[in-house]
Amino acid sequence: MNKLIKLQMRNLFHNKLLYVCLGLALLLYPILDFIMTKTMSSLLNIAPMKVFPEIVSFITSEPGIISVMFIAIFACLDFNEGTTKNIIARGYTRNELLISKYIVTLLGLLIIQVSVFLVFLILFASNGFGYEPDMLNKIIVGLFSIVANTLFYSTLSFVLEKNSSAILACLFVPRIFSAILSLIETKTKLSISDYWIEGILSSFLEKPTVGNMILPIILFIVYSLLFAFIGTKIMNKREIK
Amino acid sequence: MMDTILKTTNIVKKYGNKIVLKNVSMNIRKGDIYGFIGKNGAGKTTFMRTVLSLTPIDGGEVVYYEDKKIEDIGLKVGSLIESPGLYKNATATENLKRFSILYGADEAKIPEILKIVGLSDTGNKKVKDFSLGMKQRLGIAFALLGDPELLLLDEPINGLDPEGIKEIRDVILKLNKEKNITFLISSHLLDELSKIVTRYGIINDGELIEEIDAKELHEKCKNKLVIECDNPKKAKTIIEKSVPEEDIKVKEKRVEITEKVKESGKLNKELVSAGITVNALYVSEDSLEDYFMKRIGE
Repeated sequence: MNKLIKLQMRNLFHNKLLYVCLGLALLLYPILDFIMTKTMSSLLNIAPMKVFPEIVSFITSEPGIISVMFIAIFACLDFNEGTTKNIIARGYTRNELLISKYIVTLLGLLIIQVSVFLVFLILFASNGFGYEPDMLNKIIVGLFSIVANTLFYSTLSFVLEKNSSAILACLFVPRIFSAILSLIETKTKLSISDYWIEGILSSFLEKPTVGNMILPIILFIVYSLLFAFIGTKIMNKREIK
Repeated sequence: MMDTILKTTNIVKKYGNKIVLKNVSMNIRKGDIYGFIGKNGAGKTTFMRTVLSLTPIDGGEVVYYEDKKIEDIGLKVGSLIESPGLYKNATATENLKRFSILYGADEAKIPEILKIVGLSDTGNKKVKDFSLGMKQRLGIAFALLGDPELLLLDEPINGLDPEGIKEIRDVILKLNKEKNITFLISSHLLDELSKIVTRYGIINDGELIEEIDAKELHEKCKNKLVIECDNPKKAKTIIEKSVPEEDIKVKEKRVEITEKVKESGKLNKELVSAGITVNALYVSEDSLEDYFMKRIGE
């Protein structure tokens, strides 16, 4: 297992994917935001806005398009290259492969998310934002949501195996899923979307107190285990190409 | 007695209603170069995939070293199944380094392995720019990582030029002799295979119809006495009187007699006494291809 994680780490760090996604994420979120804020404040001659809520929302929101693409491509790497058989044929189990993939994909995603978060902080440090009392609660619950989201998107990608279909599915399946939930809610008057990852997070962010942290964290763990279980079930029946 | 390194018992594999492996029981002994032959779609690749756990089986058992599973001894088994799985945006060395981690192989041996497969001079060239033959060689290099004791090679010389084929053949023989590595090799190039193989398995329509030692096969193939003469029809009549129980065929200017190799001198004498001019008398061997075609009934 350790060797598998080491291999996946080498795949992560010796591949352009992480650096391209990181560069794009930094450019699209903090850097572009910073330039826009500076430009707007000087044009309108007002004080630079406090962007702290935006920083926190970045780490607590569902993964953006770049993060999703990163998960889809990295999760599919070995399937796409046909190297999965080199792993399984040497006696590593499908479950070991899957778990190592989940761990290292999560690591890669955290590197992107945390880097963006830190660059946000550095760039906007001069804007005089203040500490929010519930910031830490939001970040902790947000990290658990990242784990659940990573396992959801990774599992979806494992099912599809190919980069292109995985990217498309990761971008559109959650939207389609949300639309279906909304439709069911309209018909049944039940608020079931509150129990999906996004809904759980939104509900928590309305009242991000310490007391309200336990339930979303438990639900995110349950979701993570469920996605991992589905992933292993699918993998164990699969032909390795 | 030779140790069994891989044994399968009654392997069954189905795709939907179609049975592609029918109770395949194979024995590969340590030190064998086992040639696995069969037509396209006979089940060779599927069988190799099942023993490597790449394809789940529907029945039967695969054991290595008498009682172990692939999960227990996977690092001792190298393989190249179908096209090699490679990180295409990385160099040959980087590819081998990544899998050295996984196979617990010594990175210092990578240059030696690259030399063995003739890829020493690829430098910073990425795998995506490799020719088919180069990728195949790199696939073999993967299989050699970690000092495996058993190598499963599915059509390993596909896409190689004649020089490359000879090099791979030499590598297989060298590894077998010097490091006592056991091989299971499938190939369509039967004549190539016959130059190195010590034991054969013939598969047809998912059934392993025969396992035979190369020496035994050689003996079985040495099965025709051919007599070229000026009057084959008359010769046939004389021979029929001498060895009535044998299958005797006349083909143009020659007579072929099955399995009477040891009586060539006696028959020659009789034909000459009858006034027949014998131009040539020799033992003809079936090629592996001939034998294979006979066994699968074509």
